[in-house]
Amino acid sequence: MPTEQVSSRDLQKGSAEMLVLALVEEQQRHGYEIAQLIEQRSNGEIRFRVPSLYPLLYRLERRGLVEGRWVEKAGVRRRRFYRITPVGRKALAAQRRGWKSLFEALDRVAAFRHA
Amino acid sequence: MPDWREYVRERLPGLACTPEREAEIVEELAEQLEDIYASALRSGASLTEAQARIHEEIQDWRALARDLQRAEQPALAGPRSVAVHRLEPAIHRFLPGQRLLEILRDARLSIRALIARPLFTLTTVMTLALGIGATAVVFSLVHSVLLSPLPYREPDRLTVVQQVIPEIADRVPILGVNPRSFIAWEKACRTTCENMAALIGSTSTLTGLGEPEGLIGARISPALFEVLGIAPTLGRSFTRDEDAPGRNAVVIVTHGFWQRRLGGDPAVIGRVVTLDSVPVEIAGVLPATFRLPQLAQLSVPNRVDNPLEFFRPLAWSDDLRRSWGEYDNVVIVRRPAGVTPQATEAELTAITRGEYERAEIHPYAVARPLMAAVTADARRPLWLVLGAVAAALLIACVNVAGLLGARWTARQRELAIRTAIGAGRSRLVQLVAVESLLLALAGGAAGLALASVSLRAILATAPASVPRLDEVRLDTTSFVVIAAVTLVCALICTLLPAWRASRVDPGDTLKASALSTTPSGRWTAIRAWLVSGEVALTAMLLVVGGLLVASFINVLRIDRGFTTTSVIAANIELPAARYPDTAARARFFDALLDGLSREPAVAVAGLSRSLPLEGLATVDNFIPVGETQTGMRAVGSHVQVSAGYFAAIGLPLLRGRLLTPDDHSRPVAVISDRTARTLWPGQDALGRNFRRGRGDLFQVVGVVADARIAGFERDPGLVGYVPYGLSTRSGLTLVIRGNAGDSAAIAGARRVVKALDPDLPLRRVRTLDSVVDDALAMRRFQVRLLTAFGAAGLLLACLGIYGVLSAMVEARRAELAIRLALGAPPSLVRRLVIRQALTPVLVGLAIGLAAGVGAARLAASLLFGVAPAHPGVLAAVSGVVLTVAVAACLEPAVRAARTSFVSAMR
Repeated sequence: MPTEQVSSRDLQKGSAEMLVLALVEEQQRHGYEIAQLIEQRSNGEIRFRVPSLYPLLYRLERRGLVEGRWVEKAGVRRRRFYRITPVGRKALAAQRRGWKSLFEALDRVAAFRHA
Repeated sequence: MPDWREYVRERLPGLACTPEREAEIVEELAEQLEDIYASALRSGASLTEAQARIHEEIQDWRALARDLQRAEQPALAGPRSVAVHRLEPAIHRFLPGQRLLEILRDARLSIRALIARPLFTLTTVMTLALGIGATAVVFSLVHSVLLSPLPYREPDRLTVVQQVIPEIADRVPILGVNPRSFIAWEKACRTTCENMAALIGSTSTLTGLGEPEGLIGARISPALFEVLGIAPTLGRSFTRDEDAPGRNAVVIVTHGFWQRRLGGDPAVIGRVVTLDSVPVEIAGVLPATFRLPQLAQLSVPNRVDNPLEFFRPLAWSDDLRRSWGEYDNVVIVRRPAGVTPQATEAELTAITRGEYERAEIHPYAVARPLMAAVTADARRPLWLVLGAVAAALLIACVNVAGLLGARWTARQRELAIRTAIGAGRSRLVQLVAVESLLLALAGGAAGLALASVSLRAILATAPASVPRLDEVRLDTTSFVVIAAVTLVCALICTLLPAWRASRVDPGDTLKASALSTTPSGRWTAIRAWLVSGEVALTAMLLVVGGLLVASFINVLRIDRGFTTTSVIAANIELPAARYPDTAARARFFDALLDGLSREPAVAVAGLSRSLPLEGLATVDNFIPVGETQTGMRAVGSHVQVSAGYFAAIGLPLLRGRLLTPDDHSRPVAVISDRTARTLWPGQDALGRNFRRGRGDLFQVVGVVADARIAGFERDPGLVGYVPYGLSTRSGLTLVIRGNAGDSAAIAGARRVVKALDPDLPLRRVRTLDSVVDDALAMRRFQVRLLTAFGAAGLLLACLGIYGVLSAMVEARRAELAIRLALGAPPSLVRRLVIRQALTPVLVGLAIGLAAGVGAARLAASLLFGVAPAHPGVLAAVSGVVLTVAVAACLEPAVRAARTSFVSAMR
């Protein structure tokens, strides 16, 4: 099984992307909200600081996986919200499958779910 | 509450984007910081603590700016440099280093993966090694012989000059230079000649140092070494004074001769040795690296395995200096810088025109660069071989590309998972490229090792007539070129698999691979086209090789007019000092033939001025007596022979009689059939008379068959055989047919010569078979290499066809099984499979045949008696390629027809 050759960098890159895509898939969100949700849902295990988050968001936007737009509401300062695009949805599905098979493979090898 | 926009603006370095976009980014970052700050305060932090949290959030503003900027660029290389929590700073700071580490890690992984599949790795590396090794050897040969400068000072300024006499150019297209012209040039050529030298091949007998030895060397004008830019390592060059009869008892020897016969004695200058029974003083010893330019015009073979060893002054007699004839010398001119050979040619021609104003012939000069003159005959054959080896290498690369493509197809799942978890295209291409490069490097290294080990052995098969063979080595240029070739191979091998890798669709692949790991149909189609390419290159090689084989067969089939089995030849050169005139020389040769006739091991012996295929006869006019025309057009070879010569080489008599021993000093001649038909068309030549030039009158007593005396592929033209006793040359070739084996015949000949003159050596003892071998050596070399490359290509193409077909059968297992289950006969399935495989083969074959004919057109001068589009050769090549292709199909086709429905559906 070749997954042993997967580099931690690929993992980091891929996982970060998937996390963000997964969050904006549910509903449109702004940057601070994304960072907060990641930290909360991972029980503080994963934290996205500004230097990780914004370059990633902008890149996803460039690649057409997410779409950002300014939303103005009376009395509140305007904010930039991000939501997933159809292309982003496809990429996310592919990534989920990839991770799934990776985890299954890891599980078959290391049986970590039952450990 | 701080102004967060101000805060960000102060810290964030400028971004290379529009001001509007930059403002948006600043606004977004500022909001985030404001939220963090506010949230900290809400959770009870002090102002200072909240401030600290902001500092913690963004530590390196420059890195942030860089990453933002990179993220803003159009998406080319996919996601990069996005990091999660802990490792983030390190990754951000050391991107280039990170990349290198990544490549090294990929290399390590690739090596491990390659070692894990030794058969694949070995096949690939050996395929490349053979291709690169063969290319290295042939390139070194071409580079050393044709491309690297000649080992003289400023060699591109050296020119070889010859002469053309338009009056006889239809028969003797080009000649050497006669003394009269050279003397005029030397005196008058000022603007386009810096200096010049004449030389002529010469043989001498060395005595007084043990066994007498025949040497080959040259007589040269004193300026030769200066013209070439060579200085003797010991002693000096010749002086102008020494270039005159009676004052020329000096010799300059090569380093090899000095070592071999003079023991490398450093005090050798001034020592006297005996050459042709005359004491001569050693004036100089040449550098070890010196070799006289290997010019075909030199009248003695100057070959790597038998180099020239001595140089003496030309010392032309007054008769020679005034003669209108004697076009025997090679002239080398050093041109001033910036002067073209054409300019030199024009000036020399102008001088000759003045000199020959009142003569009957009007020669002009022809100049060409020394390099062109030296490499003339080797040029086309060597380029052809280089082209062939390049084609073979390309086949090897295509094959490896196919193998690698298949390998990466099998690794689709891995690539898909990598893509799914975020590896960009460049990352995958890098992975593939690293592996291909590793394989190519291993192949290149193994190839170079192979080349350096086998260079000498391979060169040993090269014909000795190729000039500069001793200079051939794997030098720096060869290494650089081979390194470049290796990289190109790596590139070719990478392109396809990398393209495959970059198009991996994780979804499709993973879905598909959940069921099976078979390659996609498109990939099989691409491999099929690769097979087309291989077949095309192979067919091209085979066509050219086949045409050369056909030429070779044609050359072998030429009616030579003589026989070679158990015929031995040896040269005898009588020194002028002891054999000063015709009478003395004739006495010696008469006695020699007499002695040989009593030798039991000698069946028949004869003498000749020149040996068949070696073409060193006197060329002069045949002037039929009684005809009014000058006879200028009837030029041909006049060969002095003894009576036994015809029997010795088995030249059949057609009419009249052969020469007898009684004829040796009578003015009678035997002429070739062609000569008889040319001089007296429609009439009987017997009893007729002809003159040789303006001189002797001969009566024709017999007509013999035409023999290829000038070379296999050269029209022999007119040939007359006249008795050697009329004006006996000092040098004749002894031809013996033995009846008790070659060595017994040679021993007998040596015994007889020794009894007559103990100081006389037998020179260049050789069998006539070896003369024939030499004449065929270049052709044999080409045929061997081209057929070898063609066969290798065929093998690789066969493997390629097998591979692609196996993959195809594998991919269509389910379909084939259904067909079989529905009642399709196995023979139909077999035909189906074979037809699919043969389509790319037929396409490749058609392209290859056309390309082969095209290549053969370019090399038409190397063909003999076959047209480039020779139907027999094309049919044979098609037959061979198709047979091999069908053979490669058989196993997969049979396997396809046996597909089990159950196992295919499982």
